[in-house]
Amino acid sequence: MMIFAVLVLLVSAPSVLAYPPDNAAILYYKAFMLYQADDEMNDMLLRFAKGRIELNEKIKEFVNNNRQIVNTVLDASEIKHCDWGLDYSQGTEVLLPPLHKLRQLLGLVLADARIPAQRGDYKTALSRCISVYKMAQHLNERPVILYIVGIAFNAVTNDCIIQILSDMPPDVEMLTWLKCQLAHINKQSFSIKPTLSWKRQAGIISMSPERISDAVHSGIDDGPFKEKVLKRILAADEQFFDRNREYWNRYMDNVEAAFDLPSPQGYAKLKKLDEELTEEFSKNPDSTLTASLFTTWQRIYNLSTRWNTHSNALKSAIEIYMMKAKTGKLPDALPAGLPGDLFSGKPFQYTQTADGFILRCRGKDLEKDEIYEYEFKVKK
Amino acid sequence: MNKQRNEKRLDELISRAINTEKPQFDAEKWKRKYPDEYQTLISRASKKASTHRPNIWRITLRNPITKLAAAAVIILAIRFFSAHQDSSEQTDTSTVSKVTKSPVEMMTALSLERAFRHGGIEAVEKQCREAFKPLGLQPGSISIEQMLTEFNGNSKSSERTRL
Repeated sequence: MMIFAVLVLLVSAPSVLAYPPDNAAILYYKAFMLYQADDEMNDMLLRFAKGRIELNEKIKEFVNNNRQIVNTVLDASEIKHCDWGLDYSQGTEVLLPPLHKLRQLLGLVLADARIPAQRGDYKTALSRCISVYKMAQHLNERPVILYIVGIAFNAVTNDCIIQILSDMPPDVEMLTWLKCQLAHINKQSFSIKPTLSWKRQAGIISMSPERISDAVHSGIDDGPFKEKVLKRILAADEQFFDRNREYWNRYMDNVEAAFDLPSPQGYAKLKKLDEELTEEFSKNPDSTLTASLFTTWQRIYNLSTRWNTHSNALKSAIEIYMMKAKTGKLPDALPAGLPGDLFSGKPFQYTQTADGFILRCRGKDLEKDEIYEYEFKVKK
Repeated sequence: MNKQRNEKRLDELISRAINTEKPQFDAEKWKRKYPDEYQTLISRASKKASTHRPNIWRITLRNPITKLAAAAVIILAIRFFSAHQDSSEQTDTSTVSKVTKSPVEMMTALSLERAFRHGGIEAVEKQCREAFKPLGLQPGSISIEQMLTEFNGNSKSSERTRL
């Protein structure tokens, strides 16, 4: 009996004592609890990461004092599995992790990436950025907001890498390594699909007599629209919920189809769906709950297109830096076959500048009258 | 494997939510849970309800008289706010509804989506900060002297307890 107990202890001990754990979320939650930074410092760290301000003693000291937190987050980013412990049976009322803490940690880790770059340790700097992309993959969970925060993580990290590349003398070996790392990250694609599928399922769960009041309470602003929805729900019978769920499923079929379309068409389709829903709501009670769980899909589509275009600019820039490293000069024209601007579906417009080059989109943002351009500096 | 299991569980939960005993909407329970909303509904019962939320402005502003009335209201509102607010206070990314109060309610997926609709990712962050505010700030650091003072204080109190 005694021998059996000892054997059980020996077998179970390694898994009990193992670090890191097999779930990244445990380490993220630990970092959330331990990390404290005021608004001024958060802002400073993010601005430094994006290259808007120079490194100062305050940033250096702060990052150094939070070394253990950085290490905890880096350890978490290397763990494949991340389960945030979200209770999806709650439908749209699932409680999310403290997202403001995630953004604070993003500033800390990216500031910690730029510091080694300033002393010439580009490999460490870029490795930190790759870790943040991995963190973003951990955020590619189902809820819409987590997807949006993940996109924000990727976009800020792109900015940080652009700064590091601008500080770094073009080096074929380093650029090849970075290209491989990015290709590896891209294999585990950051996608809207889990979010769309979650939203459909969460909507169905919330469109039930016992849950709908919570969804209406938290999802709709006070006003005439909410009043109308509440009145329809108060007068509802079983068939009302059945018909609303059917309407919702058809609506989500169309939303998913729109996200499969390329940029201008996909956006146009989502806009049309929004207009149709507006029309339908006033005359068709079956659309009531779909309108209540409404998500700004157009905006998310635009954000997604913008981030993917930004990533394409970065990938194209790496190829251009490699040509500079190999030949000693920037190419006269944009090499063929590089990923392009997703707003127009065309290659970027390439312009050489006094200290580097610019990649400019040919299509406008889908919501604003703005054309994006990405500036890359080349260290002499 | 884990993911498959979770999805299977989710499917079961969905089918349970939909196919079981077909629960009815419990209006009495709702009135008790959200008295503010119920009162709003009752107080407005006599008024004619207007329609859809996503593009309510487009529908309302079709009427030229409404357009004029809306313009007048906007002008009055601008004048009122410019007289009573600093420029720094005019941008309001506040998204927490008067009805949505508890931290738990503020941290639901749908409530955060609503925040995003109003003010983008900054509004989401603000709402999260607001939700976690009751936890308070942890002390940044504590000196050896402070620790000794606390320790002595605790020792004295335990001695008193023993006496």
